[in-house]
Amino acid sequence: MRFEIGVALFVLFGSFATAQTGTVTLTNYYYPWAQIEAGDYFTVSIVGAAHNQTVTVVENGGSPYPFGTTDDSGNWSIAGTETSEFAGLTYTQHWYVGGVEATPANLNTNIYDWAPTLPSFTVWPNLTASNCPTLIVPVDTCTNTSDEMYWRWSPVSYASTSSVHSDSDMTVAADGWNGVQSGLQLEPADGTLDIWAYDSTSLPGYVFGQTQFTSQTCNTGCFDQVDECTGECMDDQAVYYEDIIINPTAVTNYASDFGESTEQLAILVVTHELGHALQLAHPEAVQHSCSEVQSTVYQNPSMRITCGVSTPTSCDGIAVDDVYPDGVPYCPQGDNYCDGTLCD
Amino acid sequence: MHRHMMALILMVSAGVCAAQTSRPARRTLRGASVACPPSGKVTDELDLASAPGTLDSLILGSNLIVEGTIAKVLPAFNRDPNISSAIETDSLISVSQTLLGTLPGTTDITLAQIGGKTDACEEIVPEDPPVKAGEQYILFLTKDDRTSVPNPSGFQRYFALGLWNGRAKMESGKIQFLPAAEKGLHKLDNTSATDLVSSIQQRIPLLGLTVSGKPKR
Repeated sequence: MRFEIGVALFVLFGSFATAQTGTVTLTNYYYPWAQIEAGDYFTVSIVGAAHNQTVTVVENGGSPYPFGTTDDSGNWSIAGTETSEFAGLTYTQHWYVGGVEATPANLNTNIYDWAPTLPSFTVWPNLTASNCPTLIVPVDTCTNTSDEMYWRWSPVSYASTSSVHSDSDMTVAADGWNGVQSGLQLEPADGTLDIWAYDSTSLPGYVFGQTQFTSQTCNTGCFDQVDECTGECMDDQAVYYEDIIINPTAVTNYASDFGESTEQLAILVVTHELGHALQLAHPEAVQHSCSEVQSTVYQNPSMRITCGVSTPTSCDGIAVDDVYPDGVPYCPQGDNYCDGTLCD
Repeated sequence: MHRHMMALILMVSAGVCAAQTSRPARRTLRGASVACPPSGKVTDELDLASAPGTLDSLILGSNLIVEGTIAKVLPAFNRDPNISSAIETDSLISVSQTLLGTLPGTTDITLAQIGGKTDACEEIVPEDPPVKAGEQYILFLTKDDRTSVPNPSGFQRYFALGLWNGRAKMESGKIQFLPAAEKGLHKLDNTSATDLVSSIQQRIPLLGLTVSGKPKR
């Protein structure tokens, strides 16, 4: 009996102590899935800790610094705006309530790659330089060599048979690109099919999509000949066609995590892939804070969403116009034929 | 004579027409299945939903972390019957040490990789070059949850987490992540494999996990 009481007390105190540990969370309030940078509003929240106890923080191994007292529910929080004074530094913070360390409750970094975490986080400076995409140097599906590739006619036609977005969604994505640049135009396919988006469920569950690049080297009847419509040479740097392959399983499964409908996330993905199809590469991703996310071709989808970059930006437009500074010659669909004239 | 001339004109017209239509510079609309390009190969630019950029992210995202050797590379196969260029290559891993998670009853598991070469087509993923028999790795793995793709090996199949991110090659006792891996992971390059194993073992409890992979109570 005495033993049983002892066990009961142990269980009681054990669970009581566990409950009192509480959790601590660092949040980038307005951009919760991005690293914190100067100017960002942040919160530190302690939940479920001991009631009415002193909150202290030990930063970078220094002395405990008292910050406040938990309320009657064992909760406490502080908010503030990061200043440039503290930017460029990495911090390690351990938070305690009544001398008991609170357990970090971080977002799942396998969904939100760069959400701030405790105990370690970095405060980044604002990126003042532009971070626009550059020209992609794809591997050609025909030659298996890496080289620059360019569209040699405009408008470029597109169509989708994907199950996670409609034709009109693809048009929304394409129109986004048409609205920010003047290098070339995208239009729905009518007889020719330059960019084709379709599904495959055979990709791993965390791959949203892929773009495949095919040059005129594959077009044996036309390779190294002049396109009679535009006068352009159909050489190994001339695009023949491109495929965008969407993983409907990944788009569907991640949609709720990203707070989007499946359709909205599919538009985000196909907009990004269209950027690749227009020959843009992922911009630099170093600090993973919002000032770095200036393009819809930025690599991390959670960053694009949290930073509000879901449609093509002026930065994207500048990048396309840089690839095609003189614009791409006009040729309507169905009118491109090689007449046998070899390129100079 | 007149009939003869007409026939000649028609033949010439048809010839011109055939010459024109047989050499379009652009792809035309076609059926639902995707054929392999004339070259017999495709190259992919893959976009991940998320990519682990730190050791902690690798640990937190993995169902299984093992040290092992590529025992055998199995024949590549078509992973999507509608796309001839959708190819997968599976390899058997002989596991020497389990750092996180539980092996599914055997010391052999299967690593799946997108890409490979069948008789019909070749798919290349530049960021994720195929493994070779005899290579040693520390692998951060996620269970393959696809239902549409056959598993010819019969062993539990996994992908490396974030494909080219979850594969740390051991060469002369040192660690090397693939060139395309996230910048943060390359900070671990050239550390000894022993040190990386120790780091993983130290981080697991600090991240609220047990070696079986389940969250600490």
